[in-house]
Amino acid sequence: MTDSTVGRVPAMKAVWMEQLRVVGLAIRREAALVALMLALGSATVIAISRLPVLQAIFNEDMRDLVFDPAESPWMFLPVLAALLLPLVVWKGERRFGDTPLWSMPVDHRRHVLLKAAAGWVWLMAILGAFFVWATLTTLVSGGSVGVDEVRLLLLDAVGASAGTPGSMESVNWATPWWQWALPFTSASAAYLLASTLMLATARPVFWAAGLWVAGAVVLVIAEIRDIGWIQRATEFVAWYVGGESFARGVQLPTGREVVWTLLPTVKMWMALSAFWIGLGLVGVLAASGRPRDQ
Amino acid sequence: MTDMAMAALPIDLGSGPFAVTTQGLGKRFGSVRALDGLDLQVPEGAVYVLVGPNGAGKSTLIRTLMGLVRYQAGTVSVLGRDPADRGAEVRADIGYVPEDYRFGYAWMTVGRWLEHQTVYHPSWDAEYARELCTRYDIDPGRKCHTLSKGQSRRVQLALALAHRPPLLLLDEPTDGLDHVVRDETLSILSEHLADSPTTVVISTHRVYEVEPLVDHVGVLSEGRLLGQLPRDELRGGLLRYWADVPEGWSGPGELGGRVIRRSGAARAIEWTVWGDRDAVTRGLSEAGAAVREVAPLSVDEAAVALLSETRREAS
Repeated sequence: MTDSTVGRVPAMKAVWMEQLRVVGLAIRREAALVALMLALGSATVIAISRLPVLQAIFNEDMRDLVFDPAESPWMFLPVLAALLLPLVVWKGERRFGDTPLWSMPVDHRRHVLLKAAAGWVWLMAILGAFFVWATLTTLVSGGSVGVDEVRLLLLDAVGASAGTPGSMESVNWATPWWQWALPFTSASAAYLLASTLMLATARPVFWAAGLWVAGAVVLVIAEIRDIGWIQRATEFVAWYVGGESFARGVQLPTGREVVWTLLPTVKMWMALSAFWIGLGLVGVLAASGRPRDQ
Repeated sequence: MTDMAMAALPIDLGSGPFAVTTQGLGKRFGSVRALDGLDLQVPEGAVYVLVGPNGAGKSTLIRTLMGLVRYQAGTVSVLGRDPADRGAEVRADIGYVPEDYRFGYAWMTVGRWLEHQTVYHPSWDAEYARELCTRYDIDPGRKCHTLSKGQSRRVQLALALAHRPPLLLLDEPTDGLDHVVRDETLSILSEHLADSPTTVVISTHRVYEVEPLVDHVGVLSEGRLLGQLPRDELRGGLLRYWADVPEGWSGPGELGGRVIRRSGAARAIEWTVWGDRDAVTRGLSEAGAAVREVAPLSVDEAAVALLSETRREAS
């Protein structure tokens, strides 16, 4: 052997770029399908907004359409996509035993992380495109982007029902800047946690279903036994993935109103993001080092 | 088995230089011992064929050399490096045909998979790759999952060769190939070895298919090497003896070799013996047998004889 033949591994930059390309190819069919559905959605919404006949048929006025990035479906859809994306990113990769990825001249853990990171980059790109689409569709339809409203913050539930002064506070609420980042961080956390299952287990869907059932059982027990901290924690988790956790309908002396038990803050977003993304990163790092020989 | 059989064949190939060595290599999958104190020596530039029955540990050994399986005991050196520590560098210098004929991503075209390889192998020889694709009649437009077993094998062989690695690890390389393509593969491998200094380790059940290329043989059973030696030494030492014997002949006391297989009729024996030809012939003659013919075995016949002996002793 000559020195020139010894261990000529590829440059990491080249591998990274190739993984970006390969993951892009892997997800292109699913991405095209989603793009088609969004295009149809846009066409429908815009048509309804422009054609009085359709407005009459659907009984909808698109000026009521609000694109608030922190609320469903704008939050829930990205999180759902992020949960499903690893299935597409790792399509065709057996992950255990002899696989194309492991046979290449790249450190196994590094290779896994590069592929997972490539999937995350595509997720962010798709999410960005999704938000541009939602913004344009909303604006063209005559709707509004972001909310600017007065919210009733509940301070004392019993007092509010009785109409006690000071039991609620009116707060001017406009979509804060960080709520535009919220879907990206939530989707990142969801992607990392789903990737952890994908890399750590041979049957990720089975494990995901098992975790979901286990979570549901815990919630039911918490409800039956009235375990407050679990219910409260669930509200925070639900908010982070797009659930309307802190808003609820309450019967007031003046009628039924939507009130808020808590108005999310930037600190809350940062803390939850640090926790969930940190957990996902630790999970992916640990799973990427899992032995693959079978 | 196997101590008697192991004593029959040499294990030590001398002082090298070796492209691949293992010492006391051990690997278990749960309670199953896949490799058991294996001492492999593959000389640089050799075409080394690993033969053994199903479950002997051939594929596990090859995957261990690739750094795809973590070994639990012993040492491994592949081109001077341990695949457990420097797996990426080791794999960079290996052309690998796995036992599994599925390759690439099912959704990808063969052409895109070839392009993928060029990124991972800086030494990729594009012109040679095109030549191999032509000779193997590979259609780059086909999706990977639409290829038959034989077509997949052809792509895998082209991929293994096209970056001209110093070491080829071929696990059942002719599996699924028809006779014409198999002959073409042997031609391609011969030309490749003539053009590029390469060490080849082939694991196969069909030794006869690669026999023209082989110059070293390792016989593996139950994760242990029964023997490894140059092909010429095998052909010179493991011989078939045909002899006429008197009625009620009970065999020699001292033969000067180890009988691997006994067959024949009452007055005509056909023995396969590992040992010095003259000593064995003399031993048979002194015991009253008239040796009619002595002939070497092909590598394939030798492997069958040795493995049959192993199985007989084990049972």
